[in-house]
Amino acid sequence: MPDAMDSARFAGLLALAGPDHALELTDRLVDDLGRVSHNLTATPDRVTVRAQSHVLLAIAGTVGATRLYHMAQGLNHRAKDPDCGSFPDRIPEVLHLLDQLIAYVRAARSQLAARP
Amino acid sequence: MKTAAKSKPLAVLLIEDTPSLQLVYRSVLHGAGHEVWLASTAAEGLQAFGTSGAQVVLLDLGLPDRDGLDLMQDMLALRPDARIIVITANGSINKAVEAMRAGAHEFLVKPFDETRFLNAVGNAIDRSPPRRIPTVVPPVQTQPTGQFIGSSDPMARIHGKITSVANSMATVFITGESGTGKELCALAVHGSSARAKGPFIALNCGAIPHDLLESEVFGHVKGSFTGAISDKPGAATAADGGTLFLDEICEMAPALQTKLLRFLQTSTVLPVGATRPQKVNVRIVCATNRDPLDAVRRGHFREDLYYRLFVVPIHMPPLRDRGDDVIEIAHSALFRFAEEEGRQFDGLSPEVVDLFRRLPWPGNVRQVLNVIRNVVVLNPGGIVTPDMLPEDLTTPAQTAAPVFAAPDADRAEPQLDSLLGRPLAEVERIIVTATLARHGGSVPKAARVLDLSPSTLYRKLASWGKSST
Repeated sequence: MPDAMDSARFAGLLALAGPDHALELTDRLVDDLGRVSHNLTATPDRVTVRAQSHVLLAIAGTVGATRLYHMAQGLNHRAKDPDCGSFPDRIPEVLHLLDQLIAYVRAARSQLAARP
Repeated sequence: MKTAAKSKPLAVLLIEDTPSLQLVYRSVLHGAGHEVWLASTAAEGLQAFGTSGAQVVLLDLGLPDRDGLDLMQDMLALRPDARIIVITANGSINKAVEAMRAGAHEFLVKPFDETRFLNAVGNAIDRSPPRRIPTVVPPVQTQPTGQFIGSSDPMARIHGKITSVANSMATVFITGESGTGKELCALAVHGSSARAKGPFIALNCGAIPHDLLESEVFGHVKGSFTGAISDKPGAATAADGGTLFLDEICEMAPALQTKLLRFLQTSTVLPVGATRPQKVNVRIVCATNRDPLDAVRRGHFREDLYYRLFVVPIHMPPLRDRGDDVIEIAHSALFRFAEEEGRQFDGLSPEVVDLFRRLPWPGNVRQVLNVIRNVVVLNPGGIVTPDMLPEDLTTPAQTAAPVFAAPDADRAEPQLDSLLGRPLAEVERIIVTATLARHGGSVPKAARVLDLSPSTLYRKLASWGKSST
């Protein structure tokens, strides 16, 4: 499980999506998070970091990945303010947490898919 | 793409480009029984807006093909009565505020919980019955209320702002010196809005003891504290369907600021001692005679609450910057007070008009009204001439300094020796004036120090204004 993950919140989202859409939701989450991870991996510029951290904080906050949410929020804040100093040093940790979250969602997907 | 069709009178259009979030929001809306149309880009959104006839739109401001604010402007141009709830991420709150100023109904900051999300949608839908799209643009109302007098350029701009913000749920934050008519402005906002037939509840946050303020705003249930002998709805509940005016908002205690923020975020109130929150549909208008941003910087006012409230700022100009408004106000007051007092006055002499134009009116409209009331009460009628005016109206001490001056380091406070031998009433007045000066002209703060209710202090000041001016 990712650091500071609100698993009840995540389970609540899957329940909200219902049996018809829970798998689709996990697929979409993996896609969206994977896209963010990809875009943050290749030495991104400030505009990219700003856009990707914006998406990330919204998703992380929604699924209950509290630590990742706060990290993304800090990254977004720094990327918005040219006077706020550099941000690349924060990206590896964000990527690490992001990988953890993707793995978590994939595991949830596997469990859902295994249900009769 | 239409994704569900349940028996709701209004369709909800969701424009969100992140697929996973779109699915989450759609699920929440479906779960609540809403009919949902989906779009992932601005182009799709505009098309769906036309096709669906949606009256409520959830709009993510960060879209891939176009700025969300521009899209919102296009949608409002097509259907001015559409309720657009903008969605943005935390940290982009300035953009959300910009959207509110441009006509958005409400804004949500990601991530948000279901309750907040559905409350925002529910409030947008509940603004029923939906107003028909006007085929003819109504004329701009230049005098929103009879009491709100003034045709100067600054006031024309304020009238225009009031009219343009009328159809929005946007919070209006009124600033201005004491006596400039902030409450009348709030009434004008209410009177020009679709809520005009609903209640207008005014609450002076500085005039109510801090320990009672929560109960006054949110209500209480019987037995929740000593003296709570029955259930009492608070101002927020009383204003349901209308407007809640929070005057002297910067005087609100920090603990209550937190609760007010929660109220603004959830549209629910939790009366003192209650266990279940109640949903209310209220538009907030607030006012202060202070610089709210300065209060934030000093740590007296929560920054997040400031951004929630400071959506449409209206600054009431001091009377000295309003040209001939002082003459209009004086004439209007003269005839109104004369009727009340059973006198016959015929207007202001040219000398009085000239004098009124030159005076700085540090007490603003309130001071003009006091002067005119004084004239009407003490004179039989006719044309108002300079000799009918209060004697010290033109003395430098009365005209140059603000009525409630800011603390002045050089100002000598009364010493005991200087008070001895004076009439008690005069001593009282000196002490009150000095206390006000020490507290930056804040009546509520001075009242607390003097152990008076602010209303008592206001009455004293008004009576002294009558007798001395």
